[in-house]
Amino acid sequence: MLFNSWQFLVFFPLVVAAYFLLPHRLRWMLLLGASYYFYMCWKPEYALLLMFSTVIDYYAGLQMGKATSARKRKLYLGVSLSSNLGILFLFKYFNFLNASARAVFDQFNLCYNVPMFELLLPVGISFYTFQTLSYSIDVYRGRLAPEKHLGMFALYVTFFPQLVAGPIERCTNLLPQFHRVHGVDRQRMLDGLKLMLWGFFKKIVIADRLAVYVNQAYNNPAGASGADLLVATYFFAFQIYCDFSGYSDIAIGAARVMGFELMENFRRPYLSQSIAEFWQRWHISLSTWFKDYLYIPLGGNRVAQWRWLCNLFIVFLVSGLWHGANWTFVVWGALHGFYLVFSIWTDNARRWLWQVARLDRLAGVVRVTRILLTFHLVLFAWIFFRANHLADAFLIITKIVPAVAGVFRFGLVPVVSLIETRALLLMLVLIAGMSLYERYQSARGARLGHRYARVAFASVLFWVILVWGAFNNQQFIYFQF
Amino acid sequence: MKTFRQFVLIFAIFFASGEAVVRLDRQFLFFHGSQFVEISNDARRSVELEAVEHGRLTISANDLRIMVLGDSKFYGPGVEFDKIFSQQLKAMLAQDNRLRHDKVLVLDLSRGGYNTLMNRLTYFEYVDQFKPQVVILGNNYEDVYGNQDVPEAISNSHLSPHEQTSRVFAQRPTDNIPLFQRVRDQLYHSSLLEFIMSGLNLELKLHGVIVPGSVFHHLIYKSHREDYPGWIKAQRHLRDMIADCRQRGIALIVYSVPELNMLDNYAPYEMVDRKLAAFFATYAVPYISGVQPFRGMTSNELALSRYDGHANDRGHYLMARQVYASLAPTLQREYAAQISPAGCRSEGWRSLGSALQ
Repeated sequence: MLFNSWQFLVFFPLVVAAYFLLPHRLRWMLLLGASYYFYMCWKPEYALLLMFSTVIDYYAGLQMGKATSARKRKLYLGVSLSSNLGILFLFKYFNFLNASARAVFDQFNLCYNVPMFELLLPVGISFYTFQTLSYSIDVYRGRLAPEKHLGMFALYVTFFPQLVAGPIERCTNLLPQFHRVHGVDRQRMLDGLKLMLWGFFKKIVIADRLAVYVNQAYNNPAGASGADLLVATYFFAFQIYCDFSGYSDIAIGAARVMGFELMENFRRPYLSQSIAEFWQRWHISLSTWFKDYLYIPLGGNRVAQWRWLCNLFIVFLVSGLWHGANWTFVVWGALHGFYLVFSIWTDNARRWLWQVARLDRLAGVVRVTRILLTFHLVLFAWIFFRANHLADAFLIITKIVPAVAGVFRFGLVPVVSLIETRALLLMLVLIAGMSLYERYQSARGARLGHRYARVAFASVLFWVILVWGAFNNQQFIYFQF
Repeated sequence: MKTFRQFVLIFAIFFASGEAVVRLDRQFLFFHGSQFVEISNDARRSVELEAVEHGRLTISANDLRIMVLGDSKFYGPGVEFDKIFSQQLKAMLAQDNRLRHDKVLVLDLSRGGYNTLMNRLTYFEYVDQFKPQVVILGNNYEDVYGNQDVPEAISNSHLSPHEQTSRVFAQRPTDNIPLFQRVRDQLYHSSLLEFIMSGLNLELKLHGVIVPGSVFHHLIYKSHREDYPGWIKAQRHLRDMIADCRQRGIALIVYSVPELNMLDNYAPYEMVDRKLAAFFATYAVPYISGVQPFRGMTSNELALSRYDGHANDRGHYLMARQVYASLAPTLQREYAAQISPAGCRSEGWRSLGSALQ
C-alpha cells in the first residue's frame, strides 16, 4: 500500500481508531495485523519472506542470549547474517552479478549459461533486512537483551509506517516503545497529522510534479537538449529529497499519531557545507547504520590513514550497492567515497589556503560558497543515481556541459523546453517556500506562532496538495531499494 | 458560543485559503498549459469533403456514398485520421468483396460540440451535393442540449449546459433576492466549490452514482423527458431529417455513441438509451445502441482517458465494426437483388432506405 493512495486514507484512520479503542495488551496484534496487511497489499506471497526473517532473527537472538560461549554466539549471528543477506543477495543482487558475469564472458566469447532469476524485488527488502540485522548484531554484542515476545519482535520488523522505506529503526529505540502504554494526546496527534500533511505536500506536490519533467528528460537523454537535462538534474535533486524525506515525514507523523517516536532521517541536507556533513544530514538512519555496523567494525578512523580512507571508500561503495543493483549506483557511491577521501586528503592544504587568502574574514561568503560547492558535487553524483544506464549518465554529462555555457549566454528560460515558464516559476516558489519553512521550523521548533496562522498554513497546504498535487500514485523512489 | 465562533473562524480560514489557491490556479493555469491540446473543429479534410466543397464530385450510381454526421465522438479528437470511425468503416466496406461498388465515399461531417440542430443543418447543407445513399447519424445523449432554435446563435454553442445555466443564473436581477439566496448565489460562484463539486461529480459519475441536481442527473432523468424543451425541439429536427431521408430514398441509421469511460457503470445511460430507441422505433429508423459490443470490456482499453469518454483508435474500430455488421448484410442483399443488366444500381439504392428500415 502506498501512503499516497486512497486505500491508505481509509486504512490509517481505521487503524488509529482501533488502536486507541483496544486495550494495551491487544494493540500489538492489531498493529502486526495492520502491518502485514499494509505489506501484503503489494504482493501477498512476499510476506513469507518477512515472516522467515522475523522467525530466524527471533530464534537467533534468543539462542545468542542463552549461549554461554562466544563460539556459539558467533554461530547464531552467522545464521542470522547468512539467511538475511542470502535472501537479499538472491532477490536483489543475483541477477545483477549474473548479467555482469555474462557480459564479461561475452567479451571473451566464452559460453555462460547461468539462467536469470525471474522474480520481482520485494518492496523494502533492504530496509527491513538492515533493521533485523541491527537487532541480531546488537544482541550478539551484548548491547541488547533478546526480545522474548515473538509478536513484539515481529512488530519491530514490520511496523507499517517505516516498513518499506525507513527510517531504519534501532531496536533500542523502537522495541521499548511497543511495551509502553500510549494514551490519546491531542497535541501529539495534531503534530503527527501536520507532519504527515507536510510529507504529503513534499511528495505529491513537489516530488511527483518534478518527476514528470525528470522522467521526460532522463528516460530519453538522446532526445533531450542539454539545457533540459540540466534543469532535470536540478529538479531530480529536489525530487529525490522531497520524495524520500516526504516519505520519512509521513512515516514519522503516522507513528507519532499513535504515540511512537521514530528517528529523524533528514536535516536540511542541501545546506551542508561539506560532503561529510551532507551524510550527517541525509538518510541519517542509513548512514548511522553503516557507521555502527560496517565502518567501525572495519576499524573506523583508529587505523593507519590509508586504511581509514579505504574504510570510508568501502562504506560508500557498499552504500551505493545497497541502493540498487546497477553500476550507476556503484559509481554514485564511489563518487561520494571519492569526494570524502579527497576532502580528507586536501584538508590541511585547504586550511592553509584559507589562512593565506585570509578568507576567514568573509565567513558568510565562504559559507555560501561551501554550501553551493557541496550541493553541486552532490548534484553531479545524482546524475549517476538517476540515469538508467552508465552510458546514459555519460551522455547526459556531455550534453549538460555545453548547455551550462548556453544558459550563461542566453538565460535559463529561453533555452528550456522541458517545462513552461509559469510552471517553472511555481515550482521554484514551492521549493523555496519548502526550504524556508523547514529552516524556520528547525530554528523555531515545530510550531508557527499564532494558532490561526497555523490553521491558515495547514489549510493552504491541504488545498495546494489537492489542487497542484500529481495524483498518479507515483511510487516512492526508495521503495525499489 | 466561543467554541462555535472559533469553529466558524477556522472554517472561514479553511474556505478562504482554498478559494485563493483555486483562483490562483485558474488565473495562471500553472500545470495545464502543456496539457491543453487545441483540436481543430473544422471537419476533417477528407478527399470527399474536398471534392464536395470544390464541386469536383461526380455522382456515380456505382459508388457507395455514406454521409457521417455527429459530434466529437465520431470526430475522434486525439485519434489519427485513418483510425477514426468513418475511415475505419470506409476501409471495411471497401475491402468487402461481396459489395461490388466501384468506390466507397464517406463524407465525414462530424465536428466537436455538434448537437441535433447542427447535425440537421449540416445534413441539409450537403445532402444535395453529395447525394448519399446512407446517412449515419452519431447521436450523443447530450445532443438535446445547446441551442436548438436560432441558427444565428450557433456561435455560442461551445458553452456546456452547465455554463449556459450559469449565464442564465448570473443574469437574474439581484433586487429583492432574499439573503439566503444571495449567499447561495455567492457560493454558486465560488471557484473552490466548483472545483470540489466538479471533481466529486466526476468521480461519483465514474462509479455510476447520480448526484441529485448535477448535470449528469439532468442528463439521465430530465434531458429526454417529453416536457424538456431541448428534447422536444431535437425530436422536431430528427423528424425532419427522417422525413427527408425517406423522401430521397436514403437509408438513415442512428448510432448511439457510447461513453466509453463509463463501461463499468453503464446502467444510468441505459435509461436514456431505451428512450432514444423507443423514439426511433416509432419511425422505423434503425437504431444501433453503442453499448452492447463493449460489454465485458474495460474502459481503459477503449477510452482516451479515465475522465474522457471519447474512443481511442480501438474504440473507433469497434464502433465501425458494429455499424458495418449492421449495414453490410443489407447492402449485400441489395446488390444481389438489384443489379440490373446495365449494371446501374440507382433503382436498387432507392429501396435501400426501406430495406434497412
